[in-house]
Amino acid sequence: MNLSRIRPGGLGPGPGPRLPGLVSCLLAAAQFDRAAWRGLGFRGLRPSRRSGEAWTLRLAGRPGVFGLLFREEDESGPAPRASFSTHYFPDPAEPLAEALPLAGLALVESPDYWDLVRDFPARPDLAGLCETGTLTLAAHPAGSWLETGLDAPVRRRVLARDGVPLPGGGWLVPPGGRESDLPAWRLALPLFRVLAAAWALLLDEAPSRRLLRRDPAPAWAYDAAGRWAEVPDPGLARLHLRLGFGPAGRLPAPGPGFAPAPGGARLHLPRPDRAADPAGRPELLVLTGFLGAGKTTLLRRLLEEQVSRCRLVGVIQNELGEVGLDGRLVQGECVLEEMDEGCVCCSLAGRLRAGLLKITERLTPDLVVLETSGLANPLNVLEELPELADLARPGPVVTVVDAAHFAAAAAESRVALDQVRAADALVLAKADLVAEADLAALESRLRELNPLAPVLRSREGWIPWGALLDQVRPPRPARVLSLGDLRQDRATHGQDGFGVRVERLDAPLGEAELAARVRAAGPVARLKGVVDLEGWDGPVLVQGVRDRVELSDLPGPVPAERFLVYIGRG
Amino acid sequence: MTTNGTSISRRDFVKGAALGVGLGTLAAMGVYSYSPWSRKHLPQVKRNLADIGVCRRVKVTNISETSWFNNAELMGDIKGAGGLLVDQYTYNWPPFADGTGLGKGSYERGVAQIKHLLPNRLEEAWEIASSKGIHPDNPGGYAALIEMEDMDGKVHKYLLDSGWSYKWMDEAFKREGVDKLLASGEIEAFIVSHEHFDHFWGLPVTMKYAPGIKMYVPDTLYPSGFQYIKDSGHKGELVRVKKGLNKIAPGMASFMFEVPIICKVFGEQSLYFNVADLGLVSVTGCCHQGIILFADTAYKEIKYEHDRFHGLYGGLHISPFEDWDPKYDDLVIGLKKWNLEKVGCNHCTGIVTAKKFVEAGYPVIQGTARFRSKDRVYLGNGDQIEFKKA
Repeated sequence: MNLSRIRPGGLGPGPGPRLPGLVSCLLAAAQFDRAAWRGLGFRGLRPSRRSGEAWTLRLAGRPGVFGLLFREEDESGPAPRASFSTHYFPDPAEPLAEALPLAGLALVESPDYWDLVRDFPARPDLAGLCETGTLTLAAHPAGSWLETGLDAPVRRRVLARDGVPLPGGGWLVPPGGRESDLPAWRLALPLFRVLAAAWALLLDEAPSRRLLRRDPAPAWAYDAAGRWAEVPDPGLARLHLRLGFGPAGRLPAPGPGFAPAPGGARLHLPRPDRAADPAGRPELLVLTGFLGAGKTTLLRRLLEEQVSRCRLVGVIQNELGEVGLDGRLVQGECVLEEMDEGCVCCSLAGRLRAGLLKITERLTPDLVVLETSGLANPLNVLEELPELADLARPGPVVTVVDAAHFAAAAAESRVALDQVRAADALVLAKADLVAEADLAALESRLRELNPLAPVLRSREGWIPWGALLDQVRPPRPARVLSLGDLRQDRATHGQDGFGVRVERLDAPLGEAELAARVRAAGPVARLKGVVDLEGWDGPVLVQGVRDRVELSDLPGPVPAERFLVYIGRG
Repeated sequence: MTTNGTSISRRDFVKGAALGVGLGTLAAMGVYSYSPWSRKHLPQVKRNLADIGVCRRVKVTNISETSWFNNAELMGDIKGAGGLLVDQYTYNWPPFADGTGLGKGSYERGVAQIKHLLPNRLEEAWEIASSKGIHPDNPGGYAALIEMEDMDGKVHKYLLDSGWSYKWMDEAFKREGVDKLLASGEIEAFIVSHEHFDHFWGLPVTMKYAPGIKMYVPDTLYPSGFQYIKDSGHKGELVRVKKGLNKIAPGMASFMFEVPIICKVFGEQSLYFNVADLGLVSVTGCCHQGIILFADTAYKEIKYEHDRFHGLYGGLHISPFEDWDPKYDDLVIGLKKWNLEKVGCNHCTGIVTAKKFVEAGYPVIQGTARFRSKDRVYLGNGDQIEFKKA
């Protein structure tokens, strides 16, 4: 087993706890490979050192925040063993919050909840009420083996012997009833799995041993005087899972009662999502918006953010110098190409291809930003992007809207409206120059034009690029419908404008019905929508381009309505 | 889940009961606020409050902060060589170049080309390495001269890092008079923050002037790193700094953070100064561990005047990780809680971020943008920052 990518030279000398430091090294090393990091499921991590060694993090698939807190390390044996408590802090909006003990729910509902979470080790009440289990870690000092485990009750069930009375009479919880019934194991496992997958990734091997032990577990009961007792409950159990890395023969003998864990999906560790682009093509992000809208500042901020993440960015501009990046400032920060002048609409793909080739031929950028000025209609660009699929993966369209001047621009030019319609995300720039009431009106107009794109206000050119891009990146589709070329009957080029039709949906659809609606819509350059589909757990993101309709779980916040938006010529 | 036969939800109950009165009321209503299954005590975090002494004044002269000149070239090379996890000694960048191309080099083959010229014939060595290496005009380097005045008024000088390009660093040393300071023995010690190419590979330039100087290096340098110290002609005392706090002089200490860094480097030490009546001042190379960890560690480990984190010069990354609440990735918000009183930025901070600091009213000491430093918002090459009680 090779620990060197995490911590060269084994655990290092004592004294003092060494395993929390090893976890820190694991996390730091894992995030160097951004694709793998996100593929494992990490969605933001904050180490906390003030009150003990702790981490709060978000994981894909759960809206709340997970917590991990180092408790103690036992160095008495040949290999140090550490335990960490695991926690889940639900998002106030999620139904699961109600499964918490009442005092926990009260904290969730308090206005400074997230600040409390951020420093949860300083709040024993919050930490305890949201505790889900114990994560264990043991490692041989020379790094020849490592074992990590999870101990947690399947459910943490609490009975109120004397009940919880309602102020006006009656009971919220009748005497002897369940005050709370938290599915602790289910909430601890995602954190354990992601960390175990990180071990597997960095150690470059799968676990060599998987053990499970199941014990009966009691419920808890308390009375009005605050006395606690365990209450036998045959329906409850406590699980102990152990994953070992390194030669199985060298792993320490497990305690009594452990048996090989049943194989299968429950212990399946997430794999980093490398298959996303085996060809190594960069993502192509389109940044559009009227002249002077504030694109340049935003772009420079994106460049810095990407540079700080050690990502190489290429920028293609048309009309360099018009709104251009300040060459002196960004020289060397990114790779800058200018597209040939000429009619933007005609053979755009051809000129874009030339610019892309110039960049990708000598370097391998992670991201290419195409900055189009106010005169170019991004819908033209979007139509052409599939032609460039061999060079770049389609990325999001981000439109910068000048809060102070949009209304005037939109009145004069269709392009301004199309820029909003085509967007996957809208950034409202110069919001500080506009009165709040006007801003709200503008935002609502933007939502009418584009119901799906999140609208963010930029502060001095700053928006949370990382979080925004996560939200709007086309996710890997779970299903793909092939419906033939959606653009059939395509009109010839010219100055035809684009039409947009929004179809609102009142009821869930079956896949067949969705397909029928799309076919009936006629030639479509782009299709996007949020629908409720039979057989899916949650709202479905529908995206159609050319000849594929992709269905995926919806990333980001859920809009109130369900709709399909068709964009096509004529 | 809980059936109560009424229409009041758990949320409503909790909101109604806690209307401004919090958990006290809930407890009176039979709701428990602590959990018996959690261990009794959360880890008691005592502040170690190690006494590192106190000094009167710290002045930093930026010898060079331009680590390299073309970021796109640098990143392109790193990616071309295989990415952030690849050993930096394999890039075939000078000084470790053997002509076999990007990503195919090694320390041994690279140093073999120039070893016989180190450390006194640096121009020739760099010529050879440049002729065989990738993008030979890109290297610059990071190094800073630190002057610390002790409570008796005596000034002690230290060198932090030695940059990268032999050519660039030798010119910078001469420009700032550091060559003479080294040769005369006035610089008491040479501290290497971490093994990265832009902080460490220029080592022979320091060795040329002061081969007997006392060196402090993280004990987590790779074997190639330790070998380079020998091959560069170091003859003085070598202190291998272990993780944690390491006192250097009254009022001055380094802290070695065990953290994996890109390009297969591990461990970084950063400097803490306790300035009389002012507070904590820190000087870092890059601060790869992130400012949060850095500041929290200082709070936990060291005693410093007025418990105040006064000033900072160096890299300003909040954290290697993206926060789960994106607003905290904004450096301006993230740093607010420490109320820094004096800050010097360099290329690690980023121009747009540094300008935001200035706009947000942070006390950023600006520079003069000379000698190829990019912008006045940086404390650039040749610029100085001083921390002392007025």
